Amino acid sequence: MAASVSLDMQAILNPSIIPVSESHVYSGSQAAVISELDDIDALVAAYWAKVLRFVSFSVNDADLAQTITQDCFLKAFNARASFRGESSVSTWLLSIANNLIRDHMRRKKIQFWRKAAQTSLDVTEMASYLPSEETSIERQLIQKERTEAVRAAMDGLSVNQRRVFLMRFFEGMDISEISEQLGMPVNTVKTHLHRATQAIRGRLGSTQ
Amino acid sequence: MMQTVGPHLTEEQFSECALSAPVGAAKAHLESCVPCREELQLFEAAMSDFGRATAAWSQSMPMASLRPLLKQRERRNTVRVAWAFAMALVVAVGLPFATQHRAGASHEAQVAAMTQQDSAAQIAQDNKLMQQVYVALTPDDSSSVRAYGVETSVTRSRTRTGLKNQ
Repeated sequence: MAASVSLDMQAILNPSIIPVSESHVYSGSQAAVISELDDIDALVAAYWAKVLRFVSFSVNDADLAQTITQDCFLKAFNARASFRGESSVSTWLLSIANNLIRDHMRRKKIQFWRKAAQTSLDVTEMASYLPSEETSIERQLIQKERTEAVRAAMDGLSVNQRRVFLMRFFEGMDISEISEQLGMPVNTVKTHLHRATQAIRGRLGSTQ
Repeated sequence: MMQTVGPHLTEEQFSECALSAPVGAAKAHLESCVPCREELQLFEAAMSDFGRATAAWSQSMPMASLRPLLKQRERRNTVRVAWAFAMALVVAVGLPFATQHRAGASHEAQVAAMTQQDSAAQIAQDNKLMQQVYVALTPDDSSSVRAYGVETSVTRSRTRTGLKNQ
């Protein structure tokens, strides 16, 4: 039973709102991918939300996330000739975003934390985005509480722990992929995931 | 193979189950232990809610219009290239000039150093040589000098030299 729940969760966590063009990219030919990369507006329309979500919850700063996401697309567009199609466009964009986050962390370590504290994402606002159709008010409240618990647990994680966690749970990447993309040993990735899971478990336990 | 320690899943086993489908002892434990199963389900439900909320949130965020920004950057790059070209031109023209100027200056400094190094004896020798050159080049017109009864060592020596030559 738990096994089926895990599989269902993976399906839910890779939301259906992932742009239609992405499925086209995964199954499409190399030429189709390259032509998609040539149109920056189409690229932004297809992947903006995905990249923004990843960056926002990695850096925990709405303003900084906008800047990094923007830079990510500009960089990707300028370097589109170097895209060899070995991974999906989405994975490629996330790797660029990851590099930008890492560069930013190195460059402005102190300012990074100070700024993050000032413009961090609004938890209440986040929970209000949960689709409310077909659910009772009670259920909505429970969902909101759970969302806030996960959000609060993530606040206590380091940027690297958050990145690993997001890549595993929201991007559906496996441990070896995460390890490769972040340049981290597999064991470090596992440790980060373990800590993130424990933090969320602890937070959920305290809400019950 | 993971082993279940105690009545419930260990933290590590719970993490493993949360990350991928449970297997072995953990799977067997979950089938029989209601609290562990419920806790795992709660975790998964929370992750699902969070995933949907954040996805909906990110979809609602306005997308940046990057085309004008791209043009702006292209323009900036063009200006940079122009500046680089101008700088290269300045260097190409200015560097040989500066090098030449420096070479001239160093030559002058070398001459000055040599002059300073000249001793009084050398100066006297040079003067003597210059005098001889002067005498050799000046036309033999010593009559007016003699007419006034003035005979310098130069005119005397010239006269003698002239006589010898004749």
